[in-house]
Amino acid sequence: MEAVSVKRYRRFERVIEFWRAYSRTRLGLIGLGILLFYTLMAIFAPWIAPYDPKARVGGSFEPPSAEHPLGTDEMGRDILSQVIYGTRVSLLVGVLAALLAAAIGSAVGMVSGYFGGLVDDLLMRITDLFLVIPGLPFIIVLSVVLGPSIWNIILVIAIISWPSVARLVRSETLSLKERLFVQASRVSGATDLYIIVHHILPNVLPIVAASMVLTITSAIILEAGLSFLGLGDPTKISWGTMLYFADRQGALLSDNPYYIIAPGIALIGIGLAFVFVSYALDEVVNPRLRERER
Amino acid sequence: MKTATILEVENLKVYYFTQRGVVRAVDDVSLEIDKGELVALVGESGSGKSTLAYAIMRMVPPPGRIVSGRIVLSGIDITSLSEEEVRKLRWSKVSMIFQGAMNSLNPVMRVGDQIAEVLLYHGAVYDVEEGRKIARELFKLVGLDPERVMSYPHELSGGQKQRVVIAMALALNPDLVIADEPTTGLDVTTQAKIMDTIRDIQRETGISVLLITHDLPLVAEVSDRVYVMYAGKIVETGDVDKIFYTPQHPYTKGLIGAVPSHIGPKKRLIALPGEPPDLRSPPPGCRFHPRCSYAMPICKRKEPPRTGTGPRDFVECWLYAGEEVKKVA
Amino acid sequence: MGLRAYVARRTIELAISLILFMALMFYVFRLMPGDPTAMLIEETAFTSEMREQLRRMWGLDRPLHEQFVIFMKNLLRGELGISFIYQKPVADLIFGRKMLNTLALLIASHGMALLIGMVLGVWAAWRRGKVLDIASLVWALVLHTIPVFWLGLMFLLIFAVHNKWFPLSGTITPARDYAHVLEYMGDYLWHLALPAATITLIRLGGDFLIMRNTMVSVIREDYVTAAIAKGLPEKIVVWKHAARNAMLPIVTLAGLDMATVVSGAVLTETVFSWDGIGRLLYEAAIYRDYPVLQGLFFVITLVVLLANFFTDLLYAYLDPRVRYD
Repeated sequence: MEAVSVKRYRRFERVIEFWRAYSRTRLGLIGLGILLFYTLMAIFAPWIAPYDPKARVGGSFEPPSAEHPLGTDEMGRDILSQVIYGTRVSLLVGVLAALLAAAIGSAVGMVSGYFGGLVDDLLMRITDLFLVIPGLPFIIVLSVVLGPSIWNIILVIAIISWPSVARLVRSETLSLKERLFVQASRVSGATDLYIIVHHILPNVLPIVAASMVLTITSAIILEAGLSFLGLGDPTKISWGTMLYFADRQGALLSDNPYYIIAPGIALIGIGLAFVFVSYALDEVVNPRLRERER
Repeated sequence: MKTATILEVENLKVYYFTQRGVVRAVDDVSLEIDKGELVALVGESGSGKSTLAYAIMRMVPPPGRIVSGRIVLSGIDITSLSEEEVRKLRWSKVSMIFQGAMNSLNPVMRVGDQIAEVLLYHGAVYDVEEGRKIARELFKLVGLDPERVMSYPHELSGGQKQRVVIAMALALNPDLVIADEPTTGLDVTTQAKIMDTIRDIQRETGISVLLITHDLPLVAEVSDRVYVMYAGKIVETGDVDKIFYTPQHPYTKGLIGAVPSHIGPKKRLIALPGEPPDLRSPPPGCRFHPRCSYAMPICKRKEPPRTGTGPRDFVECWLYAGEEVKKVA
Repeated sequence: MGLRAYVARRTIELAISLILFMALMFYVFRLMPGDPTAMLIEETAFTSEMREQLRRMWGLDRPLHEQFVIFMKNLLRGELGISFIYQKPVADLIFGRKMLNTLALLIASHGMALLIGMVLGVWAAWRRGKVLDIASLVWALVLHTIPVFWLGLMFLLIFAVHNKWFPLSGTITPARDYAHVLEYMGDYLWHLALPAATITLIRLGGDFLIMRNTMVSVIREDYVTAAIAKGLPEKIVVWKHAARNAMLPIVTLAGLDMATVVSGAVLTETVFSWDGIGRLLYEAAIYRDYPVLQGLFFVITLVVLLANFFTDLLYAYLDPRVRYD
């Protein structure tokens, strides 16, 4: 009992220490602030958005006005409301796809690194193959085969995102395997599964978490690309599908270019936020990096 | 009769202007090398030896800067030259055997071509083929198989690379070669062979050599004169015999004391108590006083004057200052 | 290890990757519900004659392992089937005008990005200053997050709609008569400008940063210090000694990043209606043109695998140390 609470306390202390280091990086705080903004926007979309994003509330392609700050689309729907609702799909797809990729990648990486030998060779060949297969063509093929739904998109993005996690986790596992506490555990008769779950996994989690930040960014951009090609979930409003319709319906030549500009700015904003956070994490995890730059 | 002076450093100050303060790496240093001399510059690491060497090449890396003083090389004051003028003097008047010389070879160029290139850009040859021919000759001079000119650095052993670097330093027949720890990273036998090569070539060609090292037995064996550097200052200089048999400065005494004999097993140089000072805020007065067992009250207050001990020799220590100087102080 | 042994090892690895990839494709295209040919019928103008041909070609009446062998043979022979939409052999569709258009786009944009990125990167590293450092970092971060298709749309908005400097779409002006071949080329380049600029700008950030960071660490190498000491002209020190050693990562990146390159091409070609294989892939996906989809996916991945292969060989050639690892 006591041991557990001490362990918990230590963990808590480490979190505090981590936060102190993190909050000293200005970019990290900015990134976190932007992310908080997006998250609140996604959660409270129905209350924030001025209109139902799917309802006709004005003429087609109205330029920005007091009523519609970003104007309307071809069907007279409010752009600002669509952008706000679009946050939901982007965040959902980004986070879930990255989580799934992290799970697959960690499992493959740990098994490969821990067992080594033939298992390692085979898994790494497959990992390398997935690394070189061009991402967008692959998810295009997969989403055509699987059919358009938001869950398929998440699955498909995870399928092309796990290999880099696997590589990372494998190399970390290789060094952990040689550490004393793992060796000791093995000598005392712990099973492989026990060692992986109790010793390897907790120690690879931080780097997996750090790598997830960038995976989320690329997942969000991939979703937007896929949706822009018209292969997204047609029932959900996302920034990518907005751009798809904007392009198809001739927004370029219309009176309301904000139909195109706004979703892109939203995408860049969220992407920058994640990049800032990842940059700050790098600084906290690798203080040497900072020293060297000086 | 005095032979020609190849290098004359006068009251040179080189400071590094870092974010955490000004590092006085070379502080009011004077030094002379005559034609054909092999002069050693000894001191602990961080004493400013390498900075002095880089200053002589006019290559002090930023945030470092030559603050004041003169460096007269073969009659030319290089401190006032433009970058382009300095470039032409580099290697033709003064060349360098770098510390960790094996890393000073470009990994993706044949070693012969690296020598040929120097000749080419200084206008000594007209094409690479001619340059390679001279490289072959130089290889013979330093005891390398001339066919090695076509090798890449990674195909050579440490000792061979070192010989390539020496050959390269001789390529333009300079007046002065600066050898900065030329034998670090080599095994003892190779070290001895390399040093013999340098000494032989030096005697044969009459090139002056400034040997920067903390390897005292080596200094005793090969050098003509010695400068002892401590915390950015020259604390004592003299003929090699004088420095080794009758050292004056307490620091020099400490150094020599740490070496049991000239031929005995080599010991680490630093057997003195204490640490060298932080050059951002060196101690007042004599910089050595915190580690000096002869320290007097005046040593803590005022920098020691330069006391001549021979025609070109001096020591900077209150122990040897004349009474009249002490009175004024 | 000599160069020959190295080539042999990499060739075997390439072959294994290729077989694994074909197995993956075989599996993916079997994922389609039911008989792969069945669902096609409802979706496209698809005759039963074509269906029979397809069934025979894919060997759907045979056991699975035989099907896989037939599948591999067809792919490797370049028998990629007949397009449902174009009613033409897929191979002819890919290896024709469309491939040339894509190559023109990619070579123009990547050549520019590489060239500008390299020169700027080398220059920034050599004259490293604080303002430049921060500016380049922010610039690269922003470029990293701009979706390529959105940048394309912005370029269209600014340079084709707002100012009518460049055309909105296509590779040439439709139904135009050309008096001279140069006139034709001029028209082609005029159409190429915006899509090429889009990809160039997106790639530039990465190329610049890689070059700059490698240069910064190479500059600290002793052999660069030595090159300065040798009194070599600054240009020679920078380009021959520093930049040449800093070139390896960017060369590797250019080759290994073919996967991203292709993805960018698909989106950019769609935005600008550039008649290349990226747009063909998009059309195949939208119209469920499975033979084209499958054939293109195979060809694209094969190109990427080969690009990786040759990059490694080039690396081994440029850096003699690699072979001896």
